[in-house]
Amino acid sequence: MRLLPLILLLLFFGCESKSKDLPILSYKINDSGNKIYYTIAYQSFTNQLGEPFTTANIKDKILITNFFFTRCPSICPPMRTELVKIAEAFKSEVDFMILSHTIDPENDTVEVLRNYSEATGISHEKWQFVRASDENTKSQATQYMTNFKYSEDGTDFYHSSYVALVDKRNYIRGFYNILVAEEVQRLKNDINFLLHN
Amino acid sequence: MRSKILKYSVFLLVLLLIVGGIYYLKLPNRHKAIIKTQVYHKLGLVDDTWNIKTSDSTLSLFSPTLVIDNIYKSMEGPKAMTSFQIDYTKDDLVWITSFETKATSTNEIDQLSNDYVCHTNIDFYDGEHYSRWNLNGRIGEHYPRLTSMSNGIESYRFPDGFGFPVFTNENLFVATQTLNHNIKGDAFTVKHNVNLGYQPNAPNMKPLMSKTVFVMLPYDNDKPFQGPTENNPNMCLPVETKNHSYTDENGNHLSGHWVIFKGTETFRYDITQQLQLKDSTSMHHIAVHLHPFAEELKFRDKTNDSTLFVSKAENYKDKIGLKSVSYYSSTEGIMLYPDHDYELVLKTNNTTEQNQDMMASMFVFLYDKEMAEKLETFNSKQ
Repeated sequence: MRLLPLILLLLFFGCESKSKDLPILSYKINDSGNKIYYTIAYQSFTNQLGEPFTTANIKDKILITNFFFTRCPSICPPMRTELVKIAEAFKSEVDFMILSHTIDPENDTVEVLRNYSEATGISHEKWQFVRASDENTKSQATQYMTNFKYSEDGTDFYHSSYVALVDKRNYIRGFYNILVAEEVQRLKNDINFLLHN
Repeated sequence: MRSKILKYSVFLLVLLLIVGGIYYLKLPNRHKAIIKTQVYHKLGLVDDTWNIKTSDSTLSLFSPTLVIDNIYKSMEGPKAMTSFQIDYTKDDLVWITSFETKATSTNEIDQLSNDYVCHTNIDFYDGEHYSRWNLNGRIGEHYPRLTSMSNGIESYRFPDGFGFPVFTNENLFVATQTLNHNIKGDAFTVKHNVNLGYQPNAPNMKPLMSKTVFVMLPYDNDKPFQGPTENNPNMCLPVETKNHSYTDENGNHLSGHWVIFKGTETFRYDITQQLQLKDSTSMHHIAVHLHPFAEELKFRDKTNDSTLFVSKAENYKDKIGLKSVSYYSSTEGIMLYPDHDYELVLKTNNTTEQNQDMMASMFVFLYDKEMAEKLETFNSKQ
């Protein structure tokens, strides 16, 4: 019994050791060979409530972000299931939110996004769905180190099953394949690390 | 009232079991293996975790335990997959230079026959990988497969001075699948041990980019399992129409996993489109994926009517399986040109009375000039 505090201490440091230092990943190596760091910024986006969504909306927030579209037949449904679980796991953390960008703004109107959002059962504050012009969305994808495009038969888009983790200073701190259980656990550990450090 | 509820509950449960049982029995071997593996892992009957160890020069991944309880042909056996990083707490540039996969016992020490390795695929996350280098146009251009090892070609090393540059915290992905062409009887367990060799960044290293080229054959989408007929002698019989099925720009249905009948056959496929060469470059490494009963796979320059590389497959004589498959590795390399056409030519010989399945791919590694320029400026600032 006397060893219990020691064991708990060891477990605490054991679990934390891998998350001790999350490098900043939002940088590009420019033509001069330098790493140029940048922060995530928003301009001219609208959320599922029809309200403007700007950089101010992510101030002092830890976010996980992804790109999706509501008619997506392939990876979006299982991704949504995992994101719902994560939203529920961090329900009480006011500094944490999920941000999903539609890559099909033509079909994903504010109304469609609102219906999609309500079907998740997660509050509008916790999980925001945003839309912008194609050009703006492409530019946002570049900030998040990804891109998307129509597939050859026009039924699906190329987009990835990875989500990005952004810290309170708006730097990307990790990428996680949300369709892999171990990666979801790593994501949760890292969200907790950023929330409490 | 309570007994009625119990009665109906038992009835429903029995009904569910019968319907579920019928559904399960109708599933192909591959899908049965997925369900059984899930059950073994979820119920904790066997170890379901990946054991990942990192040293200064090797990343070693041991798969969860996989139960082999049946004959599993290529692409059918129990499989496991996971994402991983070399060291995600650091952001150091390193070079991946070698790959190895092998079957081990569940103690992760004793090596077993590699007859239990169907293939091990290593992928990277192209968004993260290319975006750092400001090569956004490459994202989504190709399936981001770094390489694949398979039965008969379970380990290889890039030629000296060549490698694939990654940052230690980049996401990589491994998927590994078991194989069992021969052993019937009691179930047994295996793990797969996948090793990636890497070395620290050095300015003299040359970057390689990987591209996958593979044989695809047309099939009749209306009657996919009718196979070649007198009217359509060039059609293939696809193993299935979901995985490894593609539609070309003319709407033709093609399969990269098809059935071969008894005897010898030769298959050709133009890979110019798959290569998508923008500039002339040199090819320094070719890893080959073939199935048993393949005899050779040629990489040909159609424009010059010349054979650039022949991979020879040696089949076991006393059992089904590939003893070895030769690969190409050279510092000098072979030049490829954007205005040339290229093709794969596959020779097979099914020596059994049964139909067998076939795939033929080459993972080619080309000198990445654009990345080399990026690295040169990056290294000048280190």
